[in-house]
Amino acid sequence: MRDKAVKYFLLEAGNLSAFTGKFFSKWFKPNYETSEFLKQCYVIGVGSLPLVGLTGFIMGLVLTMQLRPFMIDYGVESQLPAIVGIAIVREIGPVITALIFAGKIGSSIGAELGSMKVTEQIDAMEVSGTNPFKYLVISRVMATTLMLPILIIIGDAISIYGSYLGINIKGNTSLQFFWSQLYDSLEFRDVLPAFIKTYFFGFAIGIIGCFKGYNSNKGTEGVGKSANSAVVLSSVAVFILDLLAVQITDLMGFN
Amino acid sequence: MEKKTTDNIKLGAFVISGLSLLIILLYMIGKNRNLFGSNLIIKARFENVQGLKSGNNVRFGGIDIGTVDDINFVNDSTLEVNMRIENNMRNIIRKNAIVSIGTDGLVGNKVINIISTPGKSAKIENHDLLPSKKAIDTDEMLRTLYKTNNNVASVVEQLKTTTKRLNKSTGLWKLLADESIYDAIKKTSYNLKSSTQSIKNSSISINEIIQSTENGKGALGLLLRDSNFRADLSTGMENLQQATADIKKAGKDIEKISSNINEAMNSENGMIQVLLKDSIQTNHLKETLLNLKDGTNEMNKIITATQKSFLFRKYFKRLKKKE
Repeated sequence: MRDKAVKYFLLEAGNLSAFTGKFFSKWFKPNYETSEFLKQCYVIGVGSLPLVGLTGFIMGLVLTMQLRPFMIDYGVESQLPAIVGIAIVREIGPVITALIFAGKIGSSIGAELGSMKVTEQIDAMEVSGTNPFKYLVISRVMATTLMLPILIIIGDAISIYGSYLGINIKGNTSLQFFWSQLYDSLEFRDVLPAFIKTYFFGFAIGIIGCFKGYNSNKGTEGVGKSANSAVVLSSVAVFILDLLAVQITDLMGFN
Repeated sequence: MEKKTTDNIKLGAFVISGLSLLIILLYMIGKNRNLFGSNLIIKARFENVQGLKSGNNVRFGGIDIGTVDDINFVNDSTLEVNMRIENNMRNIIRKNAIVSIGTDGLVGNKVINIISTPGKSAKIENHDLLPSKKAIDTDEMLRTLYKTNNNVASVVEQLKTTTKRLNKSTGLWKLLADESIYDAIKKTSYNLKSSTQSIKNSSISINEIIQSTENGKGALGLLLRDSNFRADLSTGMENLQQATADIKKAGKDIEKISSNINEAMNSENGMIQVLLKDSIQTNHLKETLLNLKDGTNEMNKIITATQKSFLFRKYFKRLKKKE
């Protein structure tokens, strides 16, 4: 039983790697599906903005209000914008947004591609002369890879605004002072590694969703299963990539 | 097709807003690190930079005007710190400004402070080397502070006992509260001054007297210097002795007289004896005095009645008018 599980895990890892390899080998080749890519960008990027904005806003507000009593205990209440800003930009913004994104987009890609697979639309597409991999997978993965960083930047901004409101619930800080305190504490080493890792998050979410959907089977039951496992796996992938990212930046001395 | 265009416009707005936020974020951080815009590089040399790092703030008059660019060794005992500061400081900082390394707060990051000094000097230019001041070593400061603290603690302990004792003494507080004391002291000192003056005068006179006495003038001089006077004094003393013996004899006579008187008092029939010792006589005397008092009272009443009677009223009124 255990052997089987290990074997299955290794098989999945191998298949995912092969799928990723196929993505890169097909990516450069011409016949770009530009209009499908733009459509996916719209659905993935603009469609997720309200959700990301809401979670980001609440996260910033709540984080500020939760940290406030302890900052007062240590007598560093004035550093609240700096602490919250760094926490949001470095870690909470990217990871929370990526998880929400994985929940929304990972599942939708998994379910969409899965249902296309089990209803043999993908096979039909191949017969009709369209490259289904290029049309479905590459456009979606590129869209998630490029849209998630932008979503995270906007989410960070909304989150920081939420934090500003959170500070003003009990204190009184002008937006200008908040702004200068925030930028006094932020540095490139806070922003750049956090920004770069979001591309990897987006890529991982897109490629896992597509892989799970593209390899879906066993009928309609398989569609739900692939959607579910796409969300779970991409969420775990986000955390693993986050761990890798912090270790790499630490090694490079940017932390 | 129409919907697709709107979608693409929304997508474009989304992407551009995200990218512009990113650019603003990076620009603001870069601006804080003086990476954009024209800058001025100035240098200072130190023996020890105490953990200063590139990126630490440079302050002039307490305002952040730039950052530490890099720190290089010039030789084994000298470090050169390059500072990147705002270009408009070119017109403000002068060449005689002193650069020192300080700490932001007590335990904060290291900062470089540029302090202007009085006196005329040219304005700074790019790649100028400014004079530096040896930074305050916190370790040394804390060591001194420790010693000082111990001393202060013992002083305070002693001060505490002193204050306690002072507080307990009521006399001192009364003394302090009494405002007349100041006047009294002032007066005293004034008196002291005049006394001193008189003493001085007296001592001058005394000096004169002593001088003349030594020369045999005056009574004292006579006393001390004249040998005839000594013989007279001796006779005088003899006479005095005689007189004392006479007085003694007279005292004995007086004693005799007083014993006679005593005897008379002790005998029973004398007048004094009767007054002093006979209680019946004393009672009689008392009664007589009481009768006299009653009689006087009666007399008073009669006089008042007389005054009020119509026969004599006119007379008394006239008397009053005369008064």
